[in-house]
Amino acid sequence: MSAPRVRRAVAHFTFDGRRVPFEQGDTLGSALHRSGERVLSRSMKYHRPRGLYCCTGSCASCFVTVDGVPNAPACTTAAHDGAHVASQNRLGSARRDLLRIVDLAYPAGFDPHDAFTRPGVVNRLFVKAVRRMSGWGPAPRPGAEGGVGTRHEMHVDHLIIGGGREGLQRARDADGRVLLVEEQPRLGGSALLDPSEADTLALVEAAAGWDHVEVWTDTLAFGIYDGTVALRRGDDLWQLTADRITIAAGRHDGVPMFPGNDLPGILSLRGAKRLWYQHGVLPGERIIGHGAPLPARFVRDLEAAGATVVEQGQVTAAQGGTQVERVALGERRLRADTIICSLPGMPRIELFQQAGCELTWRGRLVPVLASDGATTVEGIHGALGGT
Amino acid sequence: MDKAFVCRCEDITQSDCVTAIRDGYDSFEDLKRFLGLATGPCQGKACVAVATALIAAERGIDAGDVDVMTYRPPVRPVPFGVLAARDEGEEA
Repeated sequence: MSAPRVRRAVAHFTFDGRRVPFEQGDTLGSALHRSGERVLSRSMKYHRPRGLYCCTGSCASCFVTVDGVPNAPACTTAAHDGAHVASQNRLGSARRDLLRIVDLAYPAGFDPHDAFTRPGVVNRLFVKAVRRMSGWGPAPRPGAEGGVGTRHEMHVDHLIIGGGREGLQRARDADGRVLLVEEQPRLGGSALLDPSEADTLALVEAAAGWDHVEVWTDTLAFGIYDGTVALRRGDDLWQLTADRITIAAGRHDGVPMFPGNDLPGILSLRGAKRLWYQHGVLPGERIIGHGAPLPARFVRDLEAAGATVVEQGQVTAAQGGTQVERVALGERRLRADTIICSLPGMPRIELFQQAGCELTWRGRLVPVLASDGATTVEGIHGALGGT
Repeated sequence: MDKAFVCRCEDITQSDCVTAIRDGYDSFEDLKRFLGLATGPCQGKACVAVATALIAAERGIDAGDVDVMTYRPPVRPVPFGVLAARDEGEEA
């Protein structure tokens, strides 16, 4: 797994009119990164350049408009032939957005609570202008979005949310009929990105032979309402009840805090691993590790592929025009195009909280779990594993 | 010195948060309502840990004593066509 298998371009999409080749299994984000495009969107208020960070669809910094429908995460949206992809919220192009002037004109930040609030006529003009200059892309063209789906109801003995290592282990050991749902197209979770997780990959193989387990991939558990779990499968809504629900949804990546922490070229460790191990895209050429040391094997694999891990430590600032160019670690200044952040993640606590489970702070917010995984709500279990 | 962002969705900086906390918006829910923190498309996935630690540090309390915001469904944006799904055989 040190050298991702050789692939070849299968087709093209366009990004702001430019042809971008992609390969089997590419997302829009991985294909754009391979083609050298780091700036995928502009931020809502200051029009700062933004790009990939988490590569799991969670951080909202890589939203693009696809065939007229806004706000698709480039990092998890599969590339498809002939797609018209456009960057959002810019005047000009993603790389040269004239509205960046807002960021440059207000280096210390712009506080809308007391700017241009009086007199009323100025405020009305200001609000009108701001609404044109900020936001989240154009409204979809009528008919561009998918249709209205079908609603289904179902009851299972055991519903397991999350098809990573924890979810797979719970499914293997469960009694009764199990439904295992995973939002990604494949089971395995982070193990798909980690050559050292062979045992989890073996579970993925084995799962196909478990008669008591039904697996639904590409299925998002998006909410728990009064004990009923709402699932999205394509355009369809599934309302599930279960004797037992196990939430094994994994974690969100931690984000770094230093000036310039939002520049394109700054990636979470998992995001960088996804680019390399899943898509065969080198995250960058001159790389700095931030936070905990990067896994030695990942460093070796990146360097074998021609990248240089220049330095590892605690980044104190990142600078660059539209992407990382210079990085400060204390007094030291280094030239680099990429920062990979190895930071503690936060468990995905959304569903636990919606279900009414008690949460507590142990360095980050976690559900209160008994030794057998029981939460404080009957019938709901949790599995955090290595999160 | 360039900006450091706590919330990328709504472009809210560390200095915005510190100023607001010192002005008295020193619970997570107050900060959220005043600045719009955690109200963008990611709904707090990136910013909650950082902002909670920031509130705790400014107030000199444990992060565990900072209030927890309410995470409402959906956990990711979901098209209206899914929420409006019809029963089988149901007319439009």
